[in-house]
Amino acid sequence: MDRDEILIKNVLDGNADSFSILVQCYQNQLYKFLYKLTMSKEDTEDILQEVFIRVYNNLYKYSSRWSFSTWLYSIAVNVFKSHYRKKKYDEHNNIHPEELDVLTCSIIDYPEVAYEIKEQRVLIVQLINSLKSDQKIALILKHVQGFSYKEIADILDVSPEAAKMKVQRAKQIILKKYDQLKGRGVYNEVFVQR
Amino acid sequence: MKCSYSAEDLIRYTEGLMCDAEKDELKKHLDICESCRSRLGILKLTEDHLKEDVSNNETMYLKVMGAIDKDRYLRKKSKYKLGAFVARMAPFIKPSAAVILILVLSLVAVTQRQHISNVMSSLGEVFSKHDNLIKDDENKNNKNSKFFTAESVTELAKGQPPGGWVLSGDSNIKDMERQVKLKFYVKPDSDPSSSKNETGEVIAYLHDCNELYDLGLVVSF
Ligand SMILES: [Zn+2]
Repeated sequence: MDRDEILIKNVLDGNADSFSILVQCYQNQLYKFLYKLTMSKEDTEDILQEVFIRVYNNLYKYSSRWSFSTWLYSIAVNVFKSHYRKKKYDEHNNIHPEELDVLTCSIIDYPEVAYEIKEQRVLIVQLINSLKSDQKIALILKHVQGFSYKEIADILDVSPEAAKMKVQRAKQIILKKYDQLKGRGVYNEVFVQR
Repeated sequence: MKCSYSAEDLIRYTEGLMCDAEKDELKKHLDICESCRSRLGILKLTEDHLKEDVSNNETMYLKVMGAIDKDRYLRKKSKYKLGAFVARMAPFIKPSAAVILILVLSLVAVTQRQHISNVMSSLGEVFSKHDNLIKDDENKNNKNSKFFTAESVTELAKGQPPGGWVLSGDSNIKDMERQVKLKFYVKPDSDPSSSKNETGEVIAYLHDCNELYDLGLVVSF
């Protein structure tokens, strides 16, 4: 039995403290995943809280046939989707400027490039936000957590080929939208950093 | 300048799927093609943005622990253990198998209806949600079984038939990759199909290929 399985068994035996350890093991990576999806701290915290409560209430249905982390992420994806069904579409697509300040705080020490990098970031976030929900989720799973296509497939309940296709489509659409924006002269060039 | 590289080519490059020769050729091309440079830049920036760590206050677990029902698994331990067992099996069992299982058990369970009902209500609960395992527990409607309504109190444990008891019959409860069987063992010399004895007992087990799980005495006649 691995660490997660032991903790889960403890929880099902009535030891709730073991659940606290599980949460601490996964809270940071799930936070990062949900934050990249929502680009909002507030939404991320709301969703994350609900994810862990659902995980706890449904833990007895978890089967070690699946990896615990894919099970966890599939719940996170479901909670994310239902959360945003409740919200207005507009809100979803808006980027909150204060969130981007948080994002770029690591480069604020270099004011001469900070502005340019922030511009790039706004562009990237807009491009990602222009994707369909499933493409966006697949892309983020691929790069935030480095999941394999098989794992992404398990999380999204599709075939590995379909998971791969979603990630590829996401990237193609990002490039296409970028070309369109560039064609309209909206953005300056973004050069390869080698 | 005309450029022969497609978005797919550039994506293959960023995913490390190009062979060395292809890579070298593309690298040379990048020196002269501004369009590919900037498109590649976008792909790389996208990955970088997604990979970049995000700070959070790391106290989520305190909020979560304050919000959950800590006694949940203490109170109904056996119910959830049975649920856990069946959840483990559920992916192998087609929903129609649940119907067959209910029919079989409803025929067999003449005297021990209550006991079977405990098992079945848990089974039914899982089968009915088989396609939606992670649906919110609070939204469930698991009291709609035609046959049984009892709350589960039974723990499904590994077991072996008593010495001398013989396999009277088994019922395949369908799976795609693995055998899951319902097995009925009868008391010596009391098999209703062959013995002339007027009385007998039947114990049912679930068999998941490796182990027998005791469903208990289902018939005594
Ligand atoms: Zn080119």
